[in-house]
Amino acid sequence: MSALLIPVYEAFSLEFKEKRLVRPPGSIAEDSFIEVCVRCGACAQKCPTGAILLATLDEGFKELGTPKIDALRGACERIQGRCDQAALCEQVCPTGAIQRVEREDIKIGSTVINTDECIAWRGGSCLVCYEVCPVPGAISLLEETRPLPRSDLCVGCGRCVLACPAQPKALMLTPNGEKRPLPR
Amino acid sequence: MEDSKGNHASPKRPVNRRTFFGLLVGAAAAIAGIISLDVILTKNAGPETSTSTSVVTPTLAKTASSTSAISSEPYVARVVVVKGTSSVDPQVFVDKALEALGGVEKLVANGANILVKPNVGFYDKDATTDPRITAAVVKALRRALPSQIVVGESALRGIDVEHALEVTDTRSLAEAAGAEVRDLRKDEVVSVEVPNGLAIKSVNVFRTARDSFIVSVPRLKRHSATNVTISLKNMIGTVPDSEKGRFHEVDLNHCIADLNMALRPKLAIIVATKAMTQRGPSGGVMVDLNLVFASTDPVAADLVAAEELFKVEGVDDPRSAAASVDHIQDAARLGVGVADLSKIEVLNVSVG
Repeated sequence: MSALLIPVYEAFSLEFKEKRLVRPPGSIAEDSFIEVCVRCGACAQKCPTGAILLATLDEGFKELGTPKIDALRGACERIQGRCDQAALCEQVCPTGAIQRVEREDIKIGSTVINTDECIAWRGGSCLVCYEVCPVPGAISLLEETRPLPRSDLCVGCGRCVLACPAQPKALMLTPNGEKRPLPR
Repeated sequence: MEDSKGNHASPKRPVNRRTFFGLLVGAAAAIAGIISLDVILTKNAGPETSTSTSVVTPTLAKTASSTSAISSEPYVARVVVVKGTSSVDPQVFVDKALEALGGVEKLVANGANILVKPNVGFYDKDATTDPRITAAVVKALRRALPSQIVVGESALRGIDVEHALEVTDTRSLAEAAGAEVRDLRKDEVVSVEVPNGLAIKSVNVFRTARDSFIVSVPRLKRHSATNVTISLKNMIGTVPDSEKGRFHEVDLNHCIADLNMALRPKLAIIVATKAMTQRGPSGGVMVDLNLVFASTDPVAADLVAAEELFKVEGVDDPRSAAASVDHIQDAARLGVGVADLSKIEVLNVSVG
């Protein structure tokens, strides 16, 4: 019986792992985050750019109601200093699931590109992602015409994803490379 | 002098796109454009007598042997280049530029609805139009007794325009100068036809833009996708995000020309007190040029300003580099304005 269940569980967890969420800056390590977050939604309400949404059942039962960054809705401008005076997601979190982190230390993920969808890679004149990227070098240019995100420099703000004019989007925000503080 | 036609060798693209047929069509379109221009042509508005603080020097490479089919009065676009120093008041730059174009009262009708369109597409002051110049433009235009002056912008998706207007001081300074400041994205969207459009036949624009006398007030910058961004490219801030997306999908350079055909800015005032060189539209190298360009012909203004930008970068042949900017040539083909130096009168004015 257990021999049957384990692969099923693993298959599910693998599926959920592929849907790993990009969390607001300062979110503690994922396992603790799931335990500590009370799903109050205060951070999503206060986010000035509307970048924080609450996860639905699609993202997993454990994740339901927890905050995630949805770059299709907004970019996390905390990284650009927009929220320096009032890092609202961290301030309103009642449980410490989101903690104060210095702006320089923020890395909530990184962007990946699908060159098949990218207008510039298809020969068009578009470098919107490069134009809006706030981190020098995080999107480099091949032969000055084709953008290539660099996961080591990208901080995962999602601005390029939001701005990408391709339909469907050529850029996707992932939590790859994220830095998460330990719970206090 | 300007045997420029066939020799616009672009460093990046093959030259085989524009043929003499294109030029013939362009000439015809130019005639149509000139007839429809409702700006006051400056041909009779002789240069103002120079004051003690300014020196006016007209330089013109006009050739008499214009092959244009306009037999009676060949169109000449005047581009004013005001040269100052970093200590010159922005208002002086703007006032001198408009004075050399014949005076604001001649350029703008009484009771007009004016849209001043700065570039406020970023949070960074280097990448945006100097708000002091935007405010100076508003103050100068008020002398024409307009019904209203709106300062409006709609930036790229991902940039919060309200925030950009605030952190660049555009909102505070423009409001203090007497303008209403708007995030155009809150405006109603209307469709406008593009006569003879190169890539699109109609374009969705914000209503304020359609219904206004548009003054394009960009900062002179390089641009990664369109080579330069000046008064023509600046007009992209008058369309909603969905159209910006379509432009990039279809053909950005053609669409910039088409948009300017549909919504031609009546006046271009180009801020080059500091210009962005090497790369852009953000993160480039800022250079003090202490220049402001102005013209009722946005194509001519962009051509002259682009040459200055390439010159300061040390490009080998800045004139042909400017002439090879695709969207400037595309706009000229449509008849938005002229990109032929033999039809452009450059008027140099010194202040300070």
